[in-house]
Amino acid sequence: MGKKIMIVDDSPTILASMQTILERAGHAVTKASSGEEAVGTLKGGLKPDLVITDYHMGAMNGIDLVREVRRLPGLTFVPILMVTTESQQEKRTDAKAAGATGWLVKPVQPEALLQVIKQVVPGA
Amino acid sequence: MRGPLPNLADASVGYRYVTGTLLALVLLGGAEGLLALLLGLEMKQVVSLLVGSWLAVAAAAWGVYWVLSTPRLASGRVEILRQQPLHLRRVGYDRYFILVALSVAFISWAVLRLGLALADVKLAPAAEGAFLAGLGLALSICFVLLRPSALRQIERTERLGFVEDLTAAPSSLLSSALASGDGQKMDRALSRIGLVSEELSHCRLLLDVLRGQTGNVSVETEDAALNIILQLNTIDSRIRGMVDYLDQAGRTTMELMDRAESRMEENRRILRDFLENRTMAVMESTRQLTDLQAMTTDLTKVVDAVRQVSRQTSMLAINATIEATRAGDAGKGFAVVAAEVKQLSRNSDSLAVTIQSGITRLNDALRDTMRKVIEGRIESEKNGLEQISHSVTQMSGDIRQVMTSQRDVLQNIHQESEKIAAPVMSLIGSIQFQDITRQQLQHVNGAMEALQNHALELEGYLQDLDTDIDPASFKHKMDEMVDTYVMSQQRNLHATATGGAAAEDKGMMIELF
Repeated sequence: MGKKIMIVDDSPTILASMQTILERAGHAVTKASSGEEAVGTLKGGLKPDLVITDYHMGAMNGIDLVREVRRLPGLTFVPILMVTTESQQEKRTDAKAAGATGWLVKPVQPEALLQVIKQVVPGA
Repeated sequence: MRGPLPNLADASVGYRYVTGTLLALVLLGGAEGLLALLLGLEMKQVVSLLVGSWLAVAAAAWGVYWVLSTPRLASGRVEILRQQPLHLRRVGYDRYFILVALSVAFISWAVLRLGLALADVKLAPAAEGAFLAGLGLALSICFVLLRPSALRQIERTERLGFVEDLTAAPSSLLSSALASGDGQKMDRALSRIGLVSEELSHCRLLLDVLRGQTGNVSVETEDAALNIILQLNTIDSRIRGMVDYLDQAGRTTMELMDRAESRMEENRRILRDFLENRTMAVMESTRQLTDLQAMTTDLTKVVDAVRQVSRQTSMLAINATIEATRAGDAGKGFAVVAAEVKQLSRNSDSLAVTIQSGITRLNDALRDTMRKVIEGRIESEKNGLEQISHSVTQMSGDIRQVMTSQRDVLQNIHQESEKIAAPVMSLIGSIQFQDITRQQLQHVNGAMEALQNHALELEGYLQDLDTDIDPASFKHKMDEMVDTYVMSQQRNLHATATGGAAAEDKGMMIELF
């Protein structure tokens, strides 16, 4: 079943690529090119079933975004996936501590991404 | 002489050193005199105290001067200190001075004691304390006065050290030029410095170009990647459109095939019915023929009867003639009649025979001709109809075959189209490489920017000897770079190039917490 997914990344390439993959699989996609923009959209009332975010972005990085999202009402338990080139183990642990649901290393295969979504989003 | 210690060969420093020492002595004298008055010491004691302390301080100061002026003695310590970064060198200097100060203090105090003992003068503990306090004060003043210039010396030698690194010449040229004070060598060293400075500005320009180009690569690959995704999207929708169309075409084909089937079936039924009707019509004709034949049989019977009658009549005539002859003349008339009757019967008999043969001929003709015509027609009609039916069945079979193969072809195309869709989707995923490229280029760009800034700083170093900045070495800059790395691939490359330890690439590509 199609879900509402929000993707956050400062690279237009990643946004376009993921949007294509997800929309082909029947999901509805909202894009944001920075952490601040994402928080703005979420505060404006969007309640996605899943958030996918990069780590290294501008002023607000992925982990900060995770913390911010978890603070918003209704989004405390929304699954959040980090999709990033970052390879340090400590950063993974930080993400886990901040409340992220999963960690994927770029580049992500389309089938793998869709599989993960099926696993973490109930009813997908 | 070079080193982080005060260069006492330098006139200004030497001047300061002497002034400082004199000032210290004066202050010492003043302090001790004050304390002596307060403590109520005897004049003799005070004088001996003063003299002793002055001697001690002077001796110590001269000793220090001598030590520091000796290049060989100082250089060993210089090397060790020189390898430290600036802030440690400052600490080193401070510590060194404190060490020297304490040594001076101790030596002074020892000499004082000795002097007093030789002069056979007893000194009160209070006076001794006052002396040491005063000495401490004097040394502190020296320290404060000398420190700024000493630190400047440290930095100057630091800069000189850098210049040597830059020129990649062994330390001999510049250091020996400076140490020997040889004017010519100094000039050469300075011109080299000027040259290097100019080269650095060119280096900065080159880095500008490189940065511009790497930045450009990022932008262009991003545009290209987005374009590729757009094109792939178009391909994907076109393929989907085609597949939908093929599905529709396949369905239509099936419908057509079914309709054709039922049409064929109907045609066959019509033919069968037609054939049956014709057979029945033929059977009707055959029956009519049989009726006709029956009628001719009846006619034959009638002819037979007529012949029978004529025979009988002939018999009668014969009998009558015979009777007539018996009758004589009276019977002559009768004999004539009888003869005519006989003739008549003979005529009718032959007529009957003629009719009979005519009927027979007709019968035969009917039978043969009609039979031929009817049966022939039946046969040829039957053949014709059978052929039509056969062709219709064959045509039906052909159409079915064509439509089946068409459906198979459509299915094949359908499958092939779906096969294309999968690689297209995978390709859209692979475009993500562009983002990784961009990040790597960003790092390279950042490193080049750092390099540019560093070159600018170096230029400043070389051109203005009073410029005061923190000269972190390239190695430190590279260590800083490692901290900004994100990908393990970057760390491994860096480690390979610099000979460090490669980072372990632990961790799976996908991990659910």
